[in-house]
Amino acid sequence: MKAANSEWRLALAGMPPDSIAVFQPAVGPLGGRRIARAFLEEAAVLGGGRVVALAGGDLLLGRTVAPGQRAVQAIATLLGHSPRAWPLPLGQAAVEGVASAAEQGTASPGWSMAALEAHCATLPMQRFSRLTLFADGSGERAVAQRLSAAPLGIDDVQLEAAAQEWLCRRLLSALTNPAERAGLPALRPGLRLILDLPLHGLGQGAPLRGAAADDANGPIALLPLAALGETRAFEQRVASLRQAGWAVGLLAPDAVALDWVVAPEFIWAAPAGPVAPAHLPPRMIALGAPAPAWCRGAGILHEGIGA
Amino acid sequence: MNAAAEAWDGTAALRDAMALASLARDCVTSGVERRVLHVRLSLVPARLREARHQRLVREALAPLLRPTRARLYELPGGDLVALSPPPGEHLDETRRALSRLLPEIPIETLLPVLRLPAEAARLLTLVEASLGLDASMAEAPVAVASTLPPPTAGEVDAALRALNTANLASYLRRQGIWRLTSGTASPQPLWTELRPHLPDLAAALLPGRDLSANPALARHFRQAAERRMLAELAHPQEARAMGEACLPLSLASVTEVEFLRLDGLLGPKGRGGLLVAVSAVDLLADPGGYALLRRFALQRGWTLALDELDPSLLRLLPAARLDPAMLRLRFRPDMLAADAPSRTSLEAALPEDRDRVILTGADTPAAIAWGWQRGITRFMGRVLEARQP
Repeated sequence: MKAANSEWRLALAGMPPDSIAVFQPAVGPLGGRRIARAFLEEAAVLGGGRVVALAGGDLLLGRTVAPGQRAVQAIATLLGHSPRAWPLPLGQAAVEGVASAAEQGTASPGWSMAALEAHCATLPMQRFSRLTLFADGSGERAVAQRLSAAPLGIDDVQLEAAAQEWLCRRLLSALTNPAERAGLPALRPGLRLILDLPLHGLGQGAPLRGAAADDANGPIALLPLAALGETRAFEQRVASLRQAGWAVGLLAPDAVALDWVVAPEFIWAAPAGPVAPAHLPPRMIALGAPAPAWCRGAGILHEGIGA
Repeated sequence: MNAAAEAWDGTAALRDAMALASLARDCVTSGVERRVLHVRLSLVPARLREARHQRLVREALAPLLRPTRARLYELPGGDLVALSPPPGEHLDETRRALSRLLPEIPIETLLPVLRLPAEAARLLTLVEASLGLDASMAEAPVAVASTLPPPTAGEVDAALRALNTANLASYLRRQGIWRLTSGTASPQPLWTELRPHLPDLAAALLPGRDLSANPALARHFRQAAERRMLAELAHPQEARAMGEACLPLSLASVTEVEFLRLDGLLGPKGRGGLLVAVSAVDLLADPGGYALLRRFALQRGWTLALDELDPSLLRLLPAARLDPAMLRLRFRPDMLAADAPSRTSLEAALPEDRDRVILTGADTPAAIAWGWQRGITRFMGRVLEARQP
């Protein structure tokens, strides 16, 4: 990295008139960032110039403006937000500031599966277990509580899902093991329980009892949406959960799934965006605080109320 | 050569069967009457089915076919069906001649006569039986439980290092995707699917271990193999020679540097011929990532296909909602046994434009017939593969 440092400074100082700088910050999922970098690299090949990878983002120093601007457009269409761009040499000072800051950032650590598994096995329960509270519709009072593992913030979607799976198993085993239970956040009596379940099986431990089958306030088991992929195993799990008194919900990592997947017989939990999904399921758990206004409708449990 | 010829004849017979089925339906709608002679050669013992016997049968049929406007259809399985307008004296004559040729089997059994349109349903049933569409062959595949232990994460890591230096060529599989309609003479190639053959690769790099026992590691291994394949394709010469290709990839592999390099090398024309197939299970695991790929594909001009759909997944992800540019539905024999409501719901989930559907796993004529009945004309499977030299 150190060698690259001085290189980008030199390159920036030597940019000809009518050139362009584009900076794409390293935020959001890895996949989109990689495509954005490929677009910047294409602009560098077509128009001359180079792309510098910094810890906090990618910097295009393009010798011609048009390919750089096309890359900005393409990235905006792809990711929904435009990267910052400056005409050079006019914007040299601004670019220098942004790139220096990006250089100071720390690149996210690359996890191997084995290292991540070990990390998840030893992470103290208090560090990842969390209890979030939900109000119903237009109410402000907590009516439900969700026990789940907080995301680790890994930018690789698959690794994050794997970590969730391992942490989720630890939460479940702690729930059924009196010795470990002290490490969990205290559940509130009287609030409906929403519990995340792992993708595969329930793991070890006593079968979890829910409520009577017709109890509208019975606890909700959230299965990852990916569980739908194994049709037969999914049907069996749903049947046995329902028999044990659980309502079954699907946990979608992105609300776009609501528009694509037709499964209205389940409660849907998904991150709530600013705009209501085109196909709102009859029962929904809106994740994320503060909850946008559309979440105040009937049949929607939402976050964003005080402890 | 033999296998190729057989597969070819099978396809021709398939076409005859489909034509006969649609003719039976036409007779019902128009009320036109026909006499149908069913020559059940499939009942004839093998020793009497040599070429010279076949010739005798054809000669006996000739008086029926020549003077009237009768048509002869050959069904998969070897049965013949002749249709002739009423009153059908020629048909009776021919029937007696055929019966004299094969006196071992009673005439009612060997040579049933049907009337259209009254007995159209019976004719359709026998046509479907000849195609295997009566679900007589629908058996669920028996899963063999492996007794091998799963690999550890460390063993998989070591296997992945070995993969980086392994010669991948012998583990790559190519298979054609074809357009085959009941009206055209021969299948036309659309894409060539290219994928690493994972069972062989796993057997070579992880001997004595059952990779499928650990889904997370299996997925990791699969992606590593895909990236290796993409790395080999992402050279200017390879990319130029790729042609119309279908790459079945994990969702995550499409945003890896190897694919992005290939995407850049292909140029607009090469990308126009590329089909990238991502499994529906990957979509469920990462819907946001799938949405990103859709935008990416649109921007770059390659086609994103939703892959590995079965009837239940397709009903969950109906085309009317997702609107996929292309989808690949996997044929399984038990789809033949589906009852009317599940057939209807499956068809409702397909895109109206059936050119967006590829039926994979078309290993038997029944699969092609099943597809044709639903307007599907794009196939991948052993039935078509046998033709390739």
